[in-house]
Amino acid sequence: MALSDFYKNQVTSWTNAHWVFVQAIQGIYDLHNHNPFDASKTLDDYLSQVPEVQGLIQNLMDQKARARALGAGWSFSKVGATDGYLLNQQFLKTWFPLSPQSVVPGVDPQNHFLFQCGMSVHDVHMALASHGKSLPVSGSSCGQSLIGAFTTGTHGSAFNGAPGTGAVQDAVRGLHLIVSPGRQVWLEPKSKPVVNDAFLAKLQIQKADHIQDDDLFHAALNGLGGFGVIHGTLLEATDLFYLDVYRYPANFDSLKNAITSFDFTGVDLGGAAPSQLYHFEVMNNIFCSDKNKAAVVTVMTKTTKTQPAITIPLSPAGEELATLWANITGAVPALVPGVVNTFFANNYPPLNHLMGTLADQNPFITNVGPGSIVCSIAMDMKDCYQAMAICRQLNNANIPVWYEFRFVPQVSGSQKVLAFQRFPRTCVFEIAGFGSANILKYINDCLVEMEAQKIAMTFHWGKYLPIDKDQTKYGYPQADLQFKLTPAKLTQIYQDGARDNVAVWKAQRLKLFGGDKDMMRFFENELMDKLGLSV
Amino acid sequence: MRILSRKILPFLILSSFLLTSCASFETHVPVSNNNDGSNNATPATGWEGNVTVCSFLWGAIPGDPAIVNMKTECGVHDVKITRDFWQGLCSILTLGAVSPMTVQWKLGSAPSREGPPL
Repeated sequence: MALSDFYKNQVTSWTNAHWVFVQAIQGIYDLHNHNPFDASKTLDDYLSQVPEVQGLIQNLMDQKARARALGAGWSFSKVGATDGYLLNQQFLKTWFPLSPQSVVPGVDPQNHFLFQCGMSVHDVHMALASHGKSLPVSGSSCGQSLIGAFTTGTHGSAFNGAPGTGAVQDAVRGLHLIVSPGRQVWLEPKSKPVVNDAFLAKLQIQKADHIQDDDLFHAALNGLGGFGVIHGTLLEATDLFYLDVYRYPANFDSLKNAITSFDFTGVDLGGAAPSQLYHFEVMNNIFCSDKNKAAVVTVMTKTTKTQPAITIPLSPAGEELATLWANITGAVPALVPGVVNTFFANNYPPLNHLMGTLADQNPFITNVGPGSIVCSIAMDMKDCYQAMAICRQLNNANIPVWYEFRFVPQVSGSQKVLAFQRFPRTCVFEIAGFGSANILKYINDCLVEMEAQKIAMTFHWGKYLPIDKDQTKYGYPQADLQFKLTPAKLTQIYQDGARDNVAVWKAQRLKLFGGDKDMMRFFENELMDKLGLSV
Repeated sequence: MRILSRKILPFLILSSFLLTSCASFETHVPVSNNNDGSNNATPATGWEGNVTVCSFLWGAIPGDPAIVNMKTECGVHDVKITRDFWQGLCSILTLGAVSPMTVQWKLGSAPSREGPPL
């Protein structure tokens, strides 16, 4: 086993892309492919990483350390963090189309692609576009790693998007998992298999390690890094499509029926019928003095037109600028309306039918708003106007935040395990702002009141999670949070009738590792410990 | 007033020098890979390096950190230069002749490569 292409960084702390927290770690290993310039050795590179990662896992286990695979570090939460070692996969970027010889009958190989673990969402966009294909849906940025995006439930909207629904995970058809120093498996749903034995042979995976299991697959999709190292991801793509984006200011209250029941009567959809909507989004700026312009509505529909093309900004906010704003506005609250209004004017101007691919419409490759904080709360859309009313009422001291409403189809039935898109019509209600202790307190106050008013909610795994006050570097003005995501609360909010989805998730994990608790502990982290997801 | 100023002035200058030298600082030097000064490569996660670099003779001989994990396909995305208290003190004791600093960097991401159909 050669470890020559692993580079161990001599660092003892790590911060995520948005600089929300600083995590003490034991080190970061950068993983590199051996032949980055030799196109004829892409498969060799893909395959050779497996025993090397397994060797590294053994090495770290011998040290009694924990570790987890690291993507782009885009999560606001500590889901990607560890107190042990991070295995940085960002340089592992090979990808492969599938041939007809590798798929089971009835599967179109032209729509299926295998991506090595380091591919970012942007890399995937570019790779698929070169074949005239596209992801069915993605988030509003594309700098995240593909794996980090889907394991945390990152979503777009895509009411009518096929083949998935609204979350990136819905396009995943198979996972190549490294689960121990001696075992790699191919995991896919039994109800929708894609690959055959010939494909497994090419990846040097034993037939016995071909797992077809619906519950295990859907648990691993939102695996939070706890299901081993995902070395490869099989995606089902769609034909490349263009989106027509139409954005305009509106009166927020005039959108009440649209955001609570998809009743678009009287709502300007830019000439589109409600059935044509691919994406519908509302942002609300409560500091706007003109109530008829307080909301920003974004409508996207699929189109065959490519012009006029949308302008793609290269770089979003400057580093720590958001935190600076938070501190300034925290000291002088009277400045908040001006700052937030300027932010909206600069970042969300009207757009009059501009065309672009999914990658063009969601362009940010670099991290958006370092120093910012975003709490994404999934709820039944019928409750989102009430949630907004709570937030508006509690924001009586010029707290510099704004509110966003995105709508995602439900991850259905037993597929949802820990998917937060679990309501029949899920509204992902976001409270976004400039990171500071006061904003965290405000978010917590809102959550307390939403819970008091019986609004059922779950949380985006990759956004701020109200676990305790140590989840960010911003501090907290009180000794503890009032609304805390505890193991008991997690179980409660993911309960479906008699089905305890947290128990299902844990049982599937135990099954994957064959009951090897040492191996399971190796891939656990502090966040899993605090949420009762560890063994 | 003039006498007072003459007495205080050297003290003020020395104090300012000491404070400025001792102060820890951190500065970022984003690296461009586009003509417009932007960088559209994804930065690698985590700062690498942590290399102490000295410049000598008031910057006449600049330090030159060797980037040990450099993969030519990646490029450098971002450079961070920091000076802590002790490094600042070293600068003071040598009257600036030796100025140690810590340099860290982030590599850019590798390009993706398409392999043969599997």
